[in-house]
Amino acid sequence: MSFVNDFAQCGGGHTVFWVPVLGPDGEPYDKESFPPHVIESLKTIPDVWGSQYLLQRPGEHDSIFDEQEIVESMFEWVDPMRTVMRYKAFEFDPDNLDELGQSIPERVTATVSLSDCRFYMHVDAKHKLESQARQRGKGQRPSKAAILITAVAPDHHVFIVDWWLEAVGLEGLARKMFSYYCLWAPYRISWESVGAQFWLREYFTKIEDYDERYRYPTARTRYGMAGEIPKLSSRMVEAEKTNQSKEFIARVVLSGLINRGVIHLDSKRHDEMLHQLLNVLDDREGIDLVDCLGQGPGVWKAPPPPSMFDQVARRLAFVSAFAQPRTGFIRGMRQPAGGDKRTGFKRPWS
Amino acid sequence: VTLVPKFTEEYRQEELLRGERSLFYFERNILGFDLLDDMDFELCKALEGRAPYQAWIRALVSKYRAGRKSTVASQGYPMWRGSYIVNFSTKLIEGSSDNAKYNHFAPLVDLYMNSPRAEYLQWLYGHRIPPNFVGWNSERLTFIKENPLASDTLSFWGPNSKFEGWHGDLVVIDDAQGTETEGSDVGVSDAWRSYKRAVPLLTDQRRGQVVVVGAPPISGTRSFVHEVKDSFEGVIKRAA
Repeated sequence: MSFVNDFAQCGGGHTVFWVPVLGPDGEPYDKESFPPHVIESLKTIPDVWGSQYLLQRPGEHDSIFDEQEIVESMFEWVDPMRTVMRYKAFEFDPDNLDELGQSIPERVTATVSLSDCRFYMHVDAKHKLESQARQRGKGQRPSKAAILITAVAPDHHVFIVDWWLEAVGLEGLARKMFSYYCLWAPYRISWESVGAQFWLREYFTKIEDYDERYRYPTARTRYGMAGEIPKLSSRMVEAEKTNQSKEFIARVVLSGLINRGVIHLDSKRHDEMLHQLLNVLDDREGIDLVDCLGQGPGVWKAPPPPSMFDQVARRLAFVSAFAQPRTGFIRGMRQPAGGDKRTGFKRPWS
Repeated sequence: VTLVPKFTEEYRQEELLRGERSLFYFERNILGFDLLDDMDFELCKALEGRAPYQAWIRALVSKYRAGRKSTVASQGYPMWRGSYIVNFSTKLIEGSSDNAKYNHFAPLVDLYMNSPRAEYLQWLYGHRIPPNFVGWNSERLTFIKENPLASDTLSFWGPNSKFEGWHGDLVVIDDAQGTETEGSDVGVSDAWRSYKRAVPLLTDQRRGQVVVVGAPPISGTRSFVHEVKDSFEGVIKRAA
């Protein structure tokens, strides 16, 4: 092959002029337009960086997700009962800032108990059964019904604690949803209200009308809250689904959270989830679990931290010291003579 | 002392000659693409076929985003050839006719007709620009030609055009696949269709040129520019 220089080859009346943003030495050809902080900024969107700047083939640029980061940020169960998770959290030092004035996070090992987390269930139904679907042609992904359970910790880290994946119709999915609802007692259940899934909430409402087990569900005691819980249909919220493609959702909605190590996979049970994340651009692979996960950022809300409950408890104990023994009425503290020592403020009442 | 160039006929002939001898000079100094840098100088030399590069009939130009590949190869190069070769005709084929029209074709028409540089260009190429811009409209741009059968100097097609009724000397296929393919590979099929249909339209199959300009798509499984690169590299390898 006739290479003229690092970026061009000629011969046989053909010329290939091929200039990625970085030269063979790893330095940009145009250093003025691409200083180091611009390069770092562009690298945060790996697929755009890979294709548009490094001129790599689709799929050559490490998918949308950073596999190394996903593996490094996996959580592990501390106890055999699987109630406490150990993971890599961030510590923010207010004095350690980058050139844009943003805090540079430091990785620290942290633990969180499931009882301190808030659970979410994300559901993706199979649109058509195999018997109903046409012969699968090019560009049609294989599909299964999927349920994904995520636990959101008080520090906004998200843990994929459970999932289910099977090629069943709407009825089978509904049964499984109810089972998972009783197991995890999720705070919200999200689903994409498109196609046949539009009827999912109506479906549950009807079942709840005539089936008492569905009308008065009871949560198991192992995870989350125990005892009677609201009807499943009352916890359902529609995922904000627009006409964005799966690739767009994966790239824009999920890649930042996953590549920064905010979403954690289970170190013992991650094969299917990891496979789907890394093959999200391959239309021959099913990505129902990724679809489920894509619904998450729109509904996730972190629970208050345990320290907040301690503060409330301390304050209640302090205030209750002023309560009347018989009635429990709290009068409040007596006003010092002459008003507040520092400000001189006097309450208009005694 | 401010040096003011004398707009004499002698100066005009010198400037025309400088433009003819160097594509980079034509684009940067005459058309006013003043952001062009060293890498664009190399690209200009490659398009000219100047040493160390070789003369070509098929070329692929792929640069990083905002690397001015379309400015140099899709706008400057066809205008350079059209300005100095009588009856030279270029067809611009893109993934969308809007992209061809509003981003690449219309700015050139505006440059010659309305821009601050228009008066200078009209003075310099007065012998090539038809009086009152006859034959110039939103679809085509025509310099004075000697052969009445010669096609317009520059015109464009979108992917849905009929690909017939034109014969010329240069085809520029720019961003034929599109960047945001949303995972679909339909754009690659369309791009190859454009390429394969363009080649027979060249007036002289031995000298007519086709240049493919673009970058890989963000998503999807196929990349038109990579497939063209593989194809061209095969020819280059066999020639070596």
